[in-house]
Amino acid sequence: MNDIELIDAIKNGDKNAFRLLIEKYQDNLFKVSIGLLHNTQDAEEIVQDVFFQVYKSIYSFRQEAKLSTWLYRITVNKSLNLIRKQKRNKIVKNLSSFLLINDNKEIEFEEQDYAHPLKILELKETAKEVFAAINSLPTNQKIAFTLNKYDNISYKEISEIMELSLSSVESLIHRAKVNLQKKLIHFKNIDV
Amino acid sequence: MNCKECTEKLVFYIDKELNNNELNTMQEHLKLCSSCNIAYKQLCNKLSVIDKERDLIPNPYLATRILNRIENISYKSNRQQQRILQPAFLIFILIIALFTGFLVGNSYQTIANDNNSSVQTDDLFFNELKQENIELTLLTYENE
Ligand SMILES: [Zn+2]
Repeated sequence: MNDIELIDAIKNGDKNAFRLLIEKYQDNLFKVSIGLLHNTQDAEEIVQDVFFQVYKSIYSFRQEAKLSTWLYRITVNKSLNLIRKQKRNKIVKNLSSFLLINDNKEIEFEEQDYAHPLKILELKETAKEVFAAINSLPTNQKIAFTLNKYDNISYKEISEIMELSLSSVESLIHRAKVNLQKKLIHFKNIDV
Repeated sequence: MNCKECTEKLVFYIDKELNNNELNTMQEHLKLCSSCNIAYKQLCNKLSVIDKERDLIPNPYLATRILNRIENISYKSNRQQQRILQPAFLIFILIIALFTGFLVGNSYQTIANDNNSSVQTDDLFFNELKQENIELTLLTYENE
Protein backbone atom coordinates (compact mmCIF):
# COMPACT_ATOMS: atom_id res chain seq x y z
CA MET A 1 0.00 0.00 0.00
CA ASN A 2 1.33 3.44 -0.86
CA ASP A 3 0.63 6.49 1.30
CA ILE A 4 -2.47 7.59 -0.60
CA GLU A 5 -3.99 4.11 -0.38
CA LEU A 6 -3.10 3.98 3.32
CA ILE A 7 -4.83 7.29 4.04
CA ASP A 8 -7.92 6.24 2.09
CA ALA A 9 -8.07 2.96 4.00
CA ILE A 10 -7.71 4.75 7.35
CA LYS A 11 -10.43 7.22 6.39
CA ASN A 12 -12.63 4.20 5.67
CA GLY A 13 -12.04 2.96 9.21
CA ASP A 14 -9.46 0.27 8.45
CA LYS A 15 -7.60 -0.18 11.75
CA ASN A 16 -4.96 -2.42 10.24
CA ALA A 17 -4.09 0.36 7.79
CA PHE A 18 -3.38 2.65 10.73
CA ARG A 19 -1.06 0.06 12.25
CA LEU A 20 0.73 -0.18 8.89
CA LEU A 21 1.11 3.59 8.84
CA ILE A 22 2.63 3.56 12.35
CA GLU A 23 4.99 0.73 11.48
CA LYS A 24 6.05 2.46 8.28
CA TYR A 25 7.00 5.77 9.88
CA GLN A 26 7.62 5.25 13.60
CA ASP A 27 11.39 4.69 13.26
CA ASN A 28 11.85 7.78 11.08
CA LEU A 29 9.85 10.01 13.40
CA PHE A 30 11.62 8.57 16.43
CA LYS A 31 15.02 9.39 14.90
CA VAL A 32 14.02 13.00 14.23
CA SER A 33 12.54 13.37 17.69
CA ILE A 34 15.49 11.85 19.52
CA GLY A 35 17.83 14.01 17.41
CA LEU A 36 16.06 17.07 18.77
CA LEU A 37 15.38 15.87 22.33
CA HIS A 38 18.20 13.37 23.09
CA ASN A 39 15.89 11.47 25.42
CA THR A 40 14.39 8.10 24.42
CA GLN A 41 11.31 8.35 26.64
CA ASP A 42 10.46 11.84 25.46
CA ALA A 43 11.03 10.84 21.83
CA GLU A 44 8.64 7.87 22.20
CA GLU A 45 6.06 10.13 23.81
CA ILE A 46 6.35 12.53 20.89
CA VAL A 47 5.92 9.74 18.34
CA GLN A 48 2.80 8.56 20.20
CA ASP A 49 1.42 12.10 20.24
CA VAL A 50 2.13 12.55 16.53
CA PHE A 51 0.20 9.42 15.52
CA PHE A 52 -2.57 10.30 17.91
CA GLN A 53 -2.92 13.71 16.29
CA VAL A 54 -2.77 12.10 12.86
CA TYR A 55 -5.58 9.75 13.84
CA LYS A 56 -7.72 12.64 15.01
CA SER A 57 -7.08 14.87 12.01
CA ILE A 58 -6.71 12.36 9.16
CA TYR A 59 -10.07 13.43 7.73
CA SER A 60 -8.86 17.01 7.37
CA PHE A 61 -5.63 15.92 5.67
CA ARG A 62 -5.66 17.08 2.07
CA GLN A 63 -3.14 15.35 -0.09
CA GLU A 64 -1.53 18.59 -1.23
CA ALA A 65 1.57 17.82 0.86
CA LYS A 66 3.23 14.43 1.05
CA LEU A 67 2.17 12.37 4.06
CA SER A 68 5.78 12.06 5.23
CA THR A 69 6.26 15.85 5.03
CA TRP A 70 3.16 16.32 7.16
CA LEU A 71 4.34 13.71 9.70
CA TYR A 72 7.83 15.22 9.97
CA ARG A 73 6.40 18.70 10.41
CA ILE A 74 4.15 17.60 13.28
CA THR A 75 7.07 15.74 14.88
CA VAL A 76 9.38 18.76 14.70
CA ASN A 77 6.70 21.08 16.09
CA LYS A 78 5.83 18.79 18.96
CA SER A 79 9.50 18.22 19.83
CA LEU A 80 10.23 21.96 19.82
CA ASN A 81 7.17 22.59 21.99
CA LEU A 82 8.44 20.03 24.49
CA ILE A 83 11.89 21.68 24.54
CA ARG A 84 10.24 25.04 25.25
CA LYS A 85 8.11 23.51 27.99
CA GLN A 86 11.15 21.81 29.56
CA LYS A 87 13.10 25.07 29.47
CA ARG A 88 10.25 26.85 31.24
CA ASN A 89 10.07 24.06 33.84
CA LYS A 90 13.81 24.25 34.35
CA ILE A 91 13.64 27.97 35.01
CA VAL A 92 10.84 27.45 37.52
CA LYS A 93 12.72 24.57 39.21
CA ASN A 94 15.94 26.53 39.37
CA LEU A 95 14.10 29.47 40.78
CA SER A 96 12.35 27.37 43.39
CA SER A 97 15.59 25.60 44.36
CA PHE A 98 17.21 29.02 44.56
CA LEU A 99 14.48 30.01 46.96
CA LEU A 100 15.18 26.72 48.83
CA ILE A 101 11.68 25.41 48.34
CA ASN A 102 12.65 21.86 47.42
CA ASP A 103 16.20 20.60 46.83
CA ASN A 104 15.41 16.90 46.30
CA LYS A 105 13.09 17.51 43.38
CA GLU A 106 15.82 19.31 41.47
CA ILE A 107 18.21 16.34 41.58
CA GLU A 108 15.40 14.06 40.36
CA PHE A 109 14.73 16.37 37.45
CA GLU A 110 18.37 16.57 36.38
CA GLU A 111 18.66 12.77 36.29
CA GLN A 112 15.48 12.42 34.31
CA ASP A 113 16.67 15.15 31.98
CA TYR A 114 19.59 12.95 30.92
CA ALA A 115 17.75 9.64 30.56
CA HIS A 116 19.46 8.18 27.52
CA PRO A 117 21.09 4.80 26.75
CA LEU A 118 24.26 6.48 25.42
CA LYS A 119 24.71 8.28 28.67
CA ILE A 120 25.15 5.03 30.54
CA LEU A 121 27.89 3.88 28.19
CA GLU A 122 31.51 4.98 28.08
CA LEU A 123 30.39 7.75 25.72
CA LYS A 124 28.56 9.49 28.53
CA GLU A 125 30.76 12.58 28.72
CA THR A 126 31.24 12.85 24.96
CA ALA A 127 27.50 12.42 24.38
CA LYS A 128 26.75 15.17 26.85
CA GLU A 129 29.15 17.51 25.08
CA VAL A 130 27.86 16.70 21.57
CA PHE A 131 24.20 17.03 22.55
CA ALA A 132 24.93 20.33 24.25
CA ALA A 133 26.66 21.53 21.07
CA ILE A 134 23.65 20.51 18.91
CA ASN A 135 21.26 22.11 21.39
CA SER A 136 23.15 25.38 21.26
CA LEU A 137 22.61 25.73 17.50
CA PRO A 138 20.05 28.30 16.31
CA THR A 139 16.67 26.53 16.00
CA ASN A 140 16.44 26.43 12.19
CA GLN A 141 20.02 25.14 11.87
CA LYS A 142 19.25 22.46 14.45
CA ILE A 143 16.05 21.36 12.68
CA ALA A 144 17.62 21.18 9.22
CA PHE A 145 20.76 19.45 10.52
CA THR A 146 18.75 16.91 12.56
CA LEU A 147 16.37 16.03 9.72
CA ASN A 148 19.30 15.44 7.38
CA LYS A 149 21.71 13.80 9.79
CA TYR A 150 19.36 11.60 11.80
CA ASP A 151 16.98 10.43 9.11
CA ASN A 152 18.87 11.09 5.88
CA ILE A 153 16.05 13.28 4.60
CA SER A 154 16.87 14.98 1.29
CA TYR A 155 17.45 18.74 1.19
CA LYS A 156 14.41 19.01 -1.07
CA GLU A 157 12.07 17.36 1.40
CA ILE A 158 13.59 19.37 4.28
CA SER A 159 12.80 22.52 2.30
CA GLU A 160 9.17 21.32 2.05
CA ILE A 161 8.98 20.39 5.74
CA MET A 162 10.44 23.71 6.85
CA GLU A 163 8.74 25.70 4.06
CA LEU A 164 12.05 27.26 3.04
CA SER A 165 13.93 27.46 -0.25
CA LEU A 166 16.38 24.74 -1.15
CA SER A 167 19.32 27.16 -0.96
CA SER A 168 18.25 28.27 2.55
CA VAL A 169 18.28 24.65 3.68
CA GLU A 170 21.73 24.08 2.15
CA SER A 171 23.01 27.16 3.91
CA LEU A 172 21.43 26.18 7.25
CA ILE A 173 23.00 22.72 7.21
CA HIS A 174 26.37 24.09 6.11
CA ARG A 175 26.38 26.64 8.95
CA ALA A 176 25.20 24.03 11.45
CA LYS A 177 28.17 21.81 10.58
CA VAL A 178 30.65 24.69 10.78
CA ASN A 179 29.25 25.69 14.17
CA LEU A 180 29.35 22.15 15.52
CA GLN A 181 32.92 21.73 14.33
CA LYS A 182 33.93 24.93 16.12
CA LYS A 183 32.31 23.76 19.33
CA LEU A 184 33.64 20.22 19.22
CA ILE A 185 37.29 20.71 18.30
CA HIS A 186 39.26 21.96 21.27
CA PHE A 187 42.18 23.92 19.93
CA LYS A 188 43.62 24.29 23.41
CA ASN A 189 44.88 20.73 23.18
CA ILE A 190 46.15 21.09 19.65
CA ASP A 191 49.00 23.29 18.43
CA VAL A 192 47.55 24.86 15.33
CA MET B 1 46.79 24.07 2.75
CA ASN B 2 47.45 25.42 6.22
CA CYS B 3 46.13 24.06 9.54
CA LYS B 4 43.36 26.67 9.82
CA GLU B 5 41.97 25.79 6.39
CA CYS B 6 42.24 22.12 7.21
CA THR B 7 40.40 22.27 10.55
CA GLU B 8 37.66 24.37 8.96
CA LYS B 9 36.93 21.62 6.46
CA LEU B 10 37.24 18.57 8.71
CA VAL B 11 33.48 18.10 9.16
CA PHE B 12 32.96 18.15 5.39
CA TYR B 13 35.87 15.77 4.95
CA ILE B 14 34.24 13.34 7.41
CA ASP B 15 30.87 13.72 5.65
CA LYS B 16 32.57 13.19 2.25
CA GLU B 17 31.31 16.49 0.89
CA LEU B 18 34.55 17.80 -0.60
CA ASN B 19 35.38 17.89 -4.29
CA ASN B 20 38.30 15.79 -5.52
CA ASN B 21 40.75 18.66 -5.46
CA GLU B 22 39.91 19.62 -1.85
CA LEU B 23 39.91 15.97 -0.84
CA ASN B 24 43.43 15.40 -2.14
CA THR B 25 44.92 18.46 -0.45
CA MET B 26 43.19 17.49 2.82
CA GLN B 27 44.58 13.96 2.67
CA GLU B 28 48.07 15.31 1.95
CA HIS B 29 47.89 17.70 4.90
CA LEU B 30 46.53 15.11 7.32
CA LYS B 31 49.36 12.71 6.38
CA LEU B 32 51.91 15.29 7.41
CA CYS B 33 50.26 17.27 10.22
CA SER B 34 49.88 15.48 13.55
CA SER B 35 47.88 18.26 15.27
CA CYS B 36 45.27 18.31 12.49
CA ASN B 37 45.22 14.54 12.72
CA ILE B 38 44.40 14.76 16.43
CA ALA B 39 41.63 17.25 15.66
CA TYR B 40 40.32 14.94 12.94
CA LYS B 41 40.18 11.94 15.30
CA GLN B 42 38.63 14.06 18.04
CA LEU B 43 35.87 15.22 15.71
CA CYS B 44 35.30 11.71 14.30
CA ASN B 45 34.96 10.34 17.81
CA LYS B 46 32.48 13.03 18.84
CA LEU B 47 30.37 12.85 15.71
CA SER B 48 30.14 9.07 16.14
CA VAL B 49 27.83 9.81 19.08
CA ILE B 50 25.30 11.10 16.55
CA ASP B 51 25.59 7.87 14.53
CA LYS B 52 25.04 5.81 17.67
CA GLU B 53 22.05 7.88 18.70
CA ARG B 54 20.66 7.61 15.19
CA ASP B 55 20.83 3.81 15.42
CA LEU B 56 18.53 3.71 18.45
CA ILE B 57 15.11 2.25 17.75
CA PRO B 58 11.87 2.88 19.61
CA ASN B 59 10.24 0.37 21.94
CA PRO B 60 8.93 -2.59 19.85
CA TYR B 61 5.50 -2.20 21.50
CA LEU B 62 5.19 1.44 20.50
CA ALA B 63 2.67 0.75 17.71
CA THR B 64 0.54 -1.38 20.04
CA ARG B 65 0.70 1.30 22.72
CA ILE B 66 -0.46 3.95 20.25
CA LEU B 67 -3.32 1.76 19.01
CA ASN B 68 -4.37 1.01 22.62
CA ARG B 69 -4.38 4.69 23.41
CA ILE B 70 -6.61 5.40 20.44
CA GLU B 71 -8.88 2.51 21.39
CA ASN B 72 -9.14 3.83 24.96
CA ILE B 73 -9.98 7.31 23.78
CA SER B 74 -12.72 6.10 21.42
CA TYR B 75 -14.07 3.85 24.22
CA LYS B 76 -14.05 6.79 26.61
CA SER B 77 -15.75 9.06 24.10
CA ASN B 78 -18.33 6.31 23.54
CA ARG B 79 -18.85 6.18 27.28
CA GLN B 80 -19.12 9.95 27.35
CA GLN B 81 -21.68 9.79 24.55
CA GLN B 82 -23.53 7.15 26.56
CA ARG B 83 -23.36 9.37 29.60
CA ILE B 84 -25.00 12.15 27.61
CA LEU B 85 -27.38 9.86 25.73
CA GLN B 86 -28.65 7.86 28.71
CA PRO B 87 -30.20 10.81 30.58
CA ALA B 88 -31.45 12.21 27.28
CA PHE B 89 -33.11 8.86 26.57
CA LEU B 90 -34.64 8.79 30.06
CA ILE B 91 -36.01 12.30 29.63
CA PHE B 92 -37.41 11.29 26.25
CA ILE B 93 -39.10 8.24 27.79
CA LEU B 94 -40.48 10.43 30.58
CA ILE B 95 -41.93 12.89 28.06
CA ILE B 96 -43.47 10.01 26.07
CA ALA B 97 -44.94 8.61 29.29
CA LEU B 98 -46.38 11.96 30.29
CA PHE B 99 -47.77 12.52 26.80
CA THR B 100 -49.35 9.05 26.77
CA GLY B 101 -50.73 9.83 30.18
CA PHE B 102 -52.40 12.99 28.88
CA LEU B 103 -53.71 11.16 25.81
CA VAL B 104 -55.15 8.34 27.89
CA GLY B 105 -56.56 10.84 30.35
CA ASN B 106 -58.22 12.84 27.58
CA SER B 107 -59.72 9.81 25.85
CA TYR B 108 -61.02 8.55 29.22
CA GLN B 109 -62.68 11.92 29.74
CA THR B 110 -64.49 11.69 26.37
CA ILE B 111 -65.62 8.13 27.19
CA ALA B 112 -66.74 9.31 30.58
CA ASN B 113 -68.66 12.16 28.95
CA ASP B 114 -70.33 9.70 26.56
CA ASN B 115 -71.20 7.49 29.53
CA ASN B 116 -72.76 10.43 31.35
CA SER B 117 -75.05 11.25 28.42
CA SER B 118 -76.07 7.59 28.07
CA VAL B 119 -76.80 7.49 31.76
CA GLN B 120 -78.97 10.55 31.30
CA THR B 121 -80.89 8.88 28.43
CA ASP B 122 -81.30 5.74 30.56
CA ASP B 123 -82.56 7.89 33.32
CA LEU B 124 -85.23 9.16 31.02
CA PHE B 125 -86.55 5.63 30.73
CA PHE B 126 -86.22 4.84 34.34
CA ASN B 127 -87.41 8.11 35.64
CA GLU B 128 -88.22 7.41 39.21
CA LEU B 129 -90.90 10.06 39.26
CA LYS B 130 -92.63 8.64 36.22
CA GLN B 131 -92.21 5.16 37.57
CA GLU B 132 -93.76 6.36 40.80
CA ASN B 133 -96.61 7.86 38.83
CA ILE B 134 -97.31 4.59 37.16
CA GLU B 135 -97.18 2.79 40.47
CA LEU B 136 -99.35 5.39 41.99
CA THR B 137 -101.91 5.08 39.18
CA LEU B 138 -101.81 1.30 39.49
CA LEU B 139 -102.27 1.54 43.20
CA THR B 140 -105.05 4.02 42.91
CA TYR B 141 -106.57 1.87 40.19
CA GLU B 142 -106.44 -1.22 42.41
CA ASN B 143 -107.81 0.64 45.31
CA GLU B 144 -110.68 1.82 43.21
ZN1 LIG C 1 47.64 21.00 10.29
